[in-house]
Amino acid sequence: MSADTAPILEVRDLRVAFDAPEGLVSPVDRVSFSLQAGKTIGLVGESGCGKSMTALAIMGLLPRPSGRVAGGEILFRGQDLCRRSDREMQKIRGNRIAMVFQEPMTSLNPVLSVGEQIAEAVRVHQRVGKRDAINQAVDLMALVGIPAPRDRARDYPHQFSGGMRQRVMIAIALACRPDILIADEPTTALDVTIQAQIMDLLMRLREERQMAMILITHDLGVLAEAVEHVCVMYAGRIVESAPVDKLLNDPRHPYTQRLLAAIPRGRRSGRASRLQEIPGSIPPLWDLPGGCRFCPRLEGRRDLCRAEQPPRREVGPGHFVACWAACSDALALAGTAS
Amino acid sequence: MTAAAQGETPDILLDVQGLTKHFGTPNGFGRTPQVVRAVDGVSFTLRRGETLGLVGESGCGKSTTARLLLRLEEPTAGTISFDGQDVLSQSPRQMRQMRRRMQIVFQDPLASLDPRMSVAETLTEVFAIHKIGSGRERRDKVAALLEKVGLRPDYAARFPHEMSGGQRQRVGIARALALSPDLIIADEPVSALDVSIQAQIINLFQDLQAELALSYIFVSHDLSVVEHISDRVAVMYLGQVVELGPTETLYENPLHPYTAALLSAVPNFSRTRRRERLLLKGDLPSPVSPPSGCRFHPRCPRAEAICSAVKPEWRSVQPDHSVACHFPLGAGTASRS
Repeated sequence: MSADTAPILEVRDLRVAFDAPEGLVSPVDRVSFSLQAGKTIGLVGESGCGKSMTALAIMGLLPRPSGRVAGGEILFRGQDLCRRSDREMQKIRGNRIAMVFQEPMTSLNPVLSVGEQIAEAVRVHQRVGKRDAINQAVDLMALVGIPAPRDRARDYPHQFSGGMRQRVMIAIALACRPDILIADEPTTALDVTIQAQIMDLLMRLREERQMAMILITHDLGVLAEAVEHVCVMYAGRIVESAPVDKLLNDPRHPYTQRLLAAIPRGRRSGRASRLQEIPGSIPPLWDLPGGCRFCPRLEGRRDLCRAEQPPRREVGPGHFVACWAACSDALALAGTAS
Repeated sequence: MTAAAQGETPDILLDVQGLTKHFGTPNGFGRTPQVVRAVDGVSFTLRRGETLGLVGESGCGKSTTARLLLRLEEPTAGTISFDGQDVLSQSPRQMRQMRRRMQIVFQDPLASLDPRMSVAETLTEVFAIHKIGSGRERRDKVAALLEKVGLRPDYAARFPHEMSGGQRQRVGIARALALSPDLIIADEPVSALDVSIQAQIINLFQDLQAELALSYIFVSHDLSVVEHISDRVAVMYLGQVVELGPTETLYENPLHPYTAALLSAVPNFSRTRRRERLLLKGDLPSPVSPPSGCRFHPRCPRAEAICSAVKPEWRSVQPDHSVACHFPLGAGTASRS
């Protein structure tokens, strides 16, 4: 991260609050990261870790009235998106920041032809006539690799396969040449050979269009190939954030370490035939442990882990960890090491 | 492939030959009824105590195959022999007896568990259906089952919605184990689970296999999971098995171009390997009108004229490693012009 370039997006201490039947919950708690123009970062974590909620907060799409940004800032080119009105957000959304969701079938309108839907996205943000918009839509379909785009523009979503539908969603997201593309589990619903096609497409488009990208996934393998920097989330917080090679080869947070060890990598990797388990389960949002949220799943929890949330510490260039054990001097200082 | 051809006959628990299931699509609205060839001539054997992985992408027929084995669907053609007995000729009553020895674990335990029944009720029902034991004996058996799958005794009183996905899958496994089966067919049992929980369940499957000498048919779309758990792997494409072999051989030296493409599509942790990826063109064709000859030929980088005309024979390239392909990868391909 060079000092002379300001990040295009900076999330600072973001907190999202939700009114749930169990009371007020925070699916995202003091999350901070920054994204440089043209770069790609990944948010990774298991279900309920807050990665998708972070994306929705950036897009201004938190479900209302129950959900809201309760603290922190989302700075896009230095301006706080949380303070924008709905009208202003609408201009940014799609135009400057666009998003691709996991399940393309639920995000497409079944009674409009695919061409019309892409053209609609074009017309929301540009003053162009209907015919121009359709032509742009066909160009976009060609760009994302849909064969015979002019004919297929007249087809409806159900006439497309899962992979082709995701290409349509990407075409819609690209309609206005966004600066940032947020892809939330873009390949999770797809078969592995189709996943490879879609990831290949996203990587190609990112380079061609010089977009910055936030890739959200539960699959560390997908991230390993696609991003420069990874933030690992657990129960609403970023527990570790590092350049991808560093994270995969030298993870420092016990959660990251165990997550990597829990992934089956086959016999060829020469690893033991037993997977490492992470005991216990992810705590529900309304019953989060105090202090470090992951520590209850570890043996040898210290008093300090229980009492206080560990601060974010830099352990290497661009490598941050939030774990008391990773900053042993702090433990010594507090005198609570047992 | 016959077991006899390999000299010594291994101890075969399940022998499946030419298994076929054609579904009719609904007619009406002026549409002509069509036939979906979901499973089209699948053959394999399962040895006692081994795990056979069944992999493939959606629509390849792997789940239908799993259901056919238990006759949850009636096959259109083919034979299934379980421990020497012909499964398809069993009467419903005989079939119920046979199902004690072959059980299934489904992907989504929330969908396969009754939401209004506690864990104890769900498990006791199994014994009630098969008229096993007194009330007290059944309660003891339930307690023993819970312990076996790693759930605390107090989970007996819980309902499905009170448990996490991993815990529910443990209940699904306990139910399958209740009648001490020889064979468990697991249909995507860890696909709905997070990675950290997935590891717990995979380990549980392996522990139970070692403890109870179970045989598994493990159906999954996840190639890494299948590689981890299987002794042998069958790769399916559009209703047919295209390659079958010992796990390490098949993953290290795939013979079928589809297997190779599938393996290369799996995201890899070592970033250096990325550039070798074989990207397949196009989507899966429809099982209503599968391509002629070899079903993979429209997407195959090695396809030649013969591939669209002639269905490739199932042949043994090495002992125990078979493929259905005119131009399999590996050593034997040098003669190809």
